[in-house]
Amino acid sequence: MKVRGRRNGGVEEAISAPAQAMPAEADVAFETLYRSSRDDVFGYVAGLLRDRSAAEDVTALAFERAYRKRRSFDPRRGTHRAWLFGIARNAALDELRRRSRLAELVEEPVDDAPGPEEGAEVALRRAALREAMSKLTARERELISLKFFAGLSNREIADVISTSETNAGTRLHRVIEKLRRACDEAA
Amino acid sequence: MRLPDRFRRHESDERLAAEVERELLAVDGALAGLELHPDFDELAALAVAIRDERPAVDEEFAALLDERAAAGFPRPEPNMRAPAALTSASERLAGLRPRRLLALAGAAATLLVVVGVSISVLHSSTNRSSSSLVQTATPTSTSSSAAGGTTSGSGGGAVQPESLPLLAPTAKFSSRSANDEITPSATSRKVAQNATLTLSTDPDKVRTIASSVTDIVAHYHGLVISSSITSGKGSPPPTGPQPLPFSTGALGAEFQLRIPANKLNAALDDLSKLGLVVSREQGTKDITSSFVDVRKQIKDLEDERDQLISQLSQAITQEAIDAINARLKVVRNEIDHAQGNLGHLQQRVAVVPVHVSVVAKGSGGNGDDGGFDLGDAVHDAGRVLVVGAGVLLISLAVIVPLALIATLAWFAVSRTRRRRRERALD
Repeated sequence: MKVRGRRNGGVEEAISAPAQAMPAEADVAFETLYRSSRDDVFGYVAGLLRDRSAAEDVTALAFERAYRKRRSFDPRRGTHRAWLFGIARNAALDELRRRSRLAELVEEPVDDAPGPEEGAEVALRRAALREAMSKLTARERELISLKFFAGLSNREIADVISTSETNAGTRLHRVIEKLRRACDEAA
Repeated sequence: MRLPDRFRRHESDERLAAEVERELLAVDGALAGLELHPDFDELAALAVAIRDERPAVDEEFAALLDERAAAGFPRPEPNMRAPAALTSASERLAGLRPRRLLALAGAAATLLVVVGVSISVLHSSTNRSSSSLVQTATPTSTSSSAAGGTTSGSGGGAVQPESLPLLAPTAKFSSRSANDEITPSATSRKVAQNATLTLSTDPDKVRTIASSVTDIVAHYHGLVISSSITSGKGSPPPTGPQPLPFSTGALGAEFQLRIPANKLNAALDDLSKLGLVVSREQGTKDITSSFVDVRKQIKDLEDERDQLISQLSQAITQEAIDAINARLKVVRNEIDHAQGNLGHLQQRVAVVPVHVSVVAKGSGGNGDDGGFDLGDAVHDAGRVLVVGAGVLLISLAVIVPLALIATLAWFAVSRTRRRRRERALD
């Protein structure tokens, strides 16, 4: 019977080097999400709260929560961005509730001064738009923020506010129409 | 996706109006910087103007947030009270998907209930064992052939009942004893006991042990009601005054004994020392109510007897005297009968029936010789399966309602929280 030799015969020294820890898939995905969504989340939260200081706190809190829950993301339930904005929305609504309990929301004054390069007509239109936006309800403001400040698709907006895409589109169109009319009237 | 949301989406499944859809597409196109049809110029300008209103991130805040993100969002104020391992565990739990968290919680609850039920089952089993002591003999491979006949009653190791001292009979009771307090609260509890002992020994020691059994019984002033010794296979059935169901042909001996109750444990201990104890069981039965019934019956009958005697002294006609005498005879007979029953009950309490079996090792009889064979293994395996299934069933009975309640509570809490958040927008 033929005896097989040892496979490690002749080996005098085994050299092993510690493998560099590879970042987990969830960590990489979160980093990408953070880089692509930081300003959008802030824009959405600030548009909803109309308070930059509070928006900064809520944005930081939202990203922190998302980081802690990064492994719980389920792609079957929507996009990564929709998931993140859902977390941000909850944090923003909690902040709104907290503020409503403490005192009336103090809105930051809107800078109505036209830019140096803007013409009078543009300045007028901008002022009219800001005026119209300041009169929007919180729900309407949220839709505008999600669409125009955060850049979400209608599908993602529907996921964030837990409704159907059709319903989200209809409601969004209604708000746009409202702003449109307000601007037209001002013009 | 949450369940109610799915339902809500189905509710408004109507399609967008064509005009609305076109304008929304135009908005998307304008935001993406696409060139649109001139009809949508105004809408596109509005969309871009709205987008331009987006609050810009403060650079200082952005840098700070980037720094925190790079560091993995460390908590600003570490909780000094909670150990690092606890904090890490809570973070891991928070990072789990709700379904996984539920599954983990369910598994933990199941484990907890199963352990609890198992402990409970084991505890109750131990309690039962305390009243019915069973000792299992060590397996042995000793075997021996046996030949010969069977001796029973007066033969061999059997002992004549007359040769042993009998307990003093207590058949007669005075009327005074019957008039004693008869309520259970005032009467001490009357407990009837019984015991069974199975011993295993070498085939050549069966007769010696049988003889020792009778000696021990005599020592404790007990009584051998019946005995039988079977010498081996093919032997004829025992022929005694009270043959025992021991006709399998296996080498061994059987005894029906009566031991005074106050000496039962000592007698059993001595009997247990005669061989290897295969099993030892003791049982008790409360017969206080029977005592009370019989005593009440005796008292009633004695009252009736006294009344009849009183009537007899006042009877004038011969017919009345005869009738009273006839009834008096019946009542006296019934009193005797009831007192006999009371005597039996008292004797049942005072004297304990004990069944002793002596089995020869390797005889293949109906007694367990302590060996462990395939049948025993199958029996044990079946027992384990039955107990396991029982534990599982009890666990399910506890877990399923709890899980239902927890699920409903979870739905209610999440719905309430969501509604409260939504109210912030109103």
